Amino acid sequence: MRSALWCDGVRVRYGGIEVLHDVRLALAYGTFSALVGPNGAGKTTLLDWCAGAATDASATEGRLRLNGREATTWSAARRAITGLRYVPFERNVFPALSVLDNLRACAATDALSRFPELEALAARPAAVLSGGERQLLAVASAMFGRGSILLIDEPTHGLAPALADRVLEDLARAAREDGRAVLIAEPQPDRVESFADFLWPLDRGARLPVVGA
Amino acid sequence: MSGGAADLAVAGLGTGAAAALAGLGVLATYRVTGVLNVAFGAIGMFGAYLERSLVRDAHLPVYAGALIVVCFFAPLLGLCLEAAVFGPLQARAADVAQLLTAGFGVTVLLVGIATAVWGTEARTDAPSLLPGGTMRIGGVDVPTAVPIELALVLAVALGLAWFSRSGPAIRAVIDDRRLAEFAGLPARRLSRIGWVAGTMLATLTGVLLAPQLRFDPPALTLVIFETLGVAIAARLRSASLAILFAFGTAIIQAELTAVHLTGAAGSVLDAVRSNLFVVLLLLATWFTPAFTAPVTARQRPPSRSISIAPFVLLVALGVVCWNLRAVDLRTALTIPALALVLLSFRVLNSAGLLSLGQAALAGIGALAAGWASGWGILGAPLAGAAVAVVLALPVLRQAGLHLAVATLAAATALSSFLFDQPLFTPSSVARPGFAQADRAFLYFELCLVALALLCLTALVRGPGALRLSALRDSEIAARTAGIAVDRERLAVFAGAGAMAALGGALWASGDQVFDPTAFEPAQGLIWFAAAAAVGFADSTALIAAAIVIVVADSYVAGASAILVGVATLVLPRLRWTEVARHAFGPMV
Repeated sequence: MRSALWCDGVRVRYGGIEVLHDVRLALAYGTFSALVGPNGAGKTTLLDWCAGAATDASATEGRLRLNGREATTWSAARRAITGLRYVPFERNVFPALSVLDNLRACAATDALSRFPELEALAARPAAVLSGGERQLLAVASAMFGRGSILLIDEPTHGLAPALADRVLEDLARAAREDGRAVLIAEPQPDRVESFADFLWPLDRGARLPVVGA
Repeated sequence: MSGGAADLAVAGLGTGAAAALAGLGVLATYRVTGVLNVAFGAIGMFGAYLERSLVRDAHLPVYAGALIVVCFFAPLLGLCLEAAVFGPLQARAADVAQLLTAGFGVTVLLVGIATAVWGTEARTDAPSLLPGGTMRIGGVDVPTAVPIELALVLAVALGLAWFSRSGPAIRAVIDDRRLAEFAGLPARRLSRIGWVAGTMLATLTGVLLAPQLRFDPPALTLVIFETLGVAIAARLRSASLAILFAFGTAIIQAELTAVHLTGAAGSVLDAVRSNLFVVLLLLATWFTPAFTAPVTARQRPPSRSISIAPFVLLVALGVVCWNLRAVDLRTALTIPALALVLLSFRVLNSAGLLSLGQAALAGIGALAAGWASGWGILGAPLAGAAVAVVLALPVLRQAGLHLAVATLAAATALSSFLFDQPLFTPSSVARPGFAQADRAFLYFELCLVALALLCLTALVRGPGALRLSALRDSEIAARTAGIAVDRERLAVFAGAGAMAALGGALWASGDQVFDPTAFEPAQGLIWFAAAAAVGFADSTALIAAAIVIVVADSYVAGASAILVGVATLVLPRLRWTEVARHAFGPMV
């Protein structure tokens, strides 16, 4: 399988506290992986680092490759142009734009047919959506948009269980049928284990042995 | 409207058009980049000087000069600012203070360069880009330039409107630049367009305004900067509101020239008329709903450790000053005074507050010292604290950029309406009886700085320190935790105001005269930029910065501006304060 994202020796410090200790990760195209672990395990920090968004860390180390190219020093924008699409946990939609315009901006209008919940909200500004609706919009924008490597922080947060399952199902399909590399952060392993190809456990900043599905 | 009133209104249209273009320039940059370009006044000034030089010295035709400045120099400057200063800052999610500091760094650098190249003498020979003469429309004499200026404003406004509505991708970048970058949208390219548009409009404003004024580099910079109120009143969003406020203010300003009062009322009216854009800026920051910069960074927790380093530095300063010649000793009197003003930023920083008005509070202290001779120094902190509370009340719930601009507006208003009015300023400032000699006064000052450091220690280690840390970290969380946020903030403003006022009182007492130029808003910006460059939370570095500023200015007047300008752009990249912190441990 072709390597989409590879990182090694990732260390991230906030002030004097190291929150990631020598973490290593590899993603292949066509696979759906989940970073799992309790709160404070470093899942969001690892996603931030991979996306070039760990700008408030006091120090970072590690190497990153995207599509086999050295990308450690690339800005978040350059990583995105290369195909990495990151959906952070907060501030993940454009609040002044309507739902439809959010999807248009990300070239993801196909999401409307898959998620009728969004179609009903198409004209509404994203700023007035509920937490769950906003999360669905953010995930759908990424899933049906341009990126070939999707990093999504807690995609099912705030979603009703049935909708959460549909989202995970679609993420798995985006990986297997569209050939994308999908990595999500998820605090509850049992929620994703039936969908994901690989589980990457993290515990207090250290990676535990990978679990293949 | 009578013929006279209509003539005056038409006369105001020229100024209104220039202010509108400046406001639209600020909006163009802010809406695309999220950065409030506080350097636009200096950019406009530099453009005006460059155009004047090309026309008067290089003998180019006026249109060629303006074309080179607005269509070649300005875009180049905009691209350089984006590539070298603001782009990298935004890439690492710089906070409001860092972005403001960089803007002020650019301002003081451009003013410093303009002063070095073109001198400080006031000029009245800026070439006019627009034709002279008048035409008669509806019984009113209209300057020929006015329709052209109005057409320019309309064209720029339409261009901005078209740009901001053209496609969801562009609107997405305008809405949240950081998220747009994650989504692979062309945020950087739009950023460059925003900077190019902003600098082009700033230089165009300078080129249009300069022929109407008697100007020198700092004065022209301030005149253009005062039009910031137009953009603030429009909440940094609405181009049509910005245009409305620009023309409205300029027309009222023109109409007021027909009103004549005598005595003190006349002086006040003159001050209001000539500073009407300052009044607009002040009112806009007080009464517009909160606006905040979309770019924020997680704040570094303040150090709660104690170090003796600043006390050692004070002792070293005292030892060095023991052997100074009389003239150098006189200069050195300013160091502890300035150190106190810079340390007041440390007080504000303890609660995560920003203020660009500390120079004005220092000025209040200086006035208090002058009004109550001798021991007025000790009353100055009370006066500073009281004025700080009054100025803070209307914007107590604001944060970040809004608070910074509001305090700057208050400082500008105090400077224009109080410090510059002979009616209010004392003719001399006396020292306390026991400190009449310079040397005695210097050691008295150093003792007061040491006392202030002890107070700072109590602030960062005392029982209220955790509350301030909580407030600094998250205002919402602090409120929900039962902390009286407004009261704490007022107390911090009062404390910082008292410290700055004490510094100002010592400054004026050291000079034995009240010098309003010492407490101008521009001076305050240099001090803010210096404090930001070395780190608000580092008392030792703040005292060292005071030493460097005073010593640099004693050798070459105005050298500190260039030095601070360079420092604000270079030091944050070197992060030497962090290196020092790692090497020598935390400081007070």
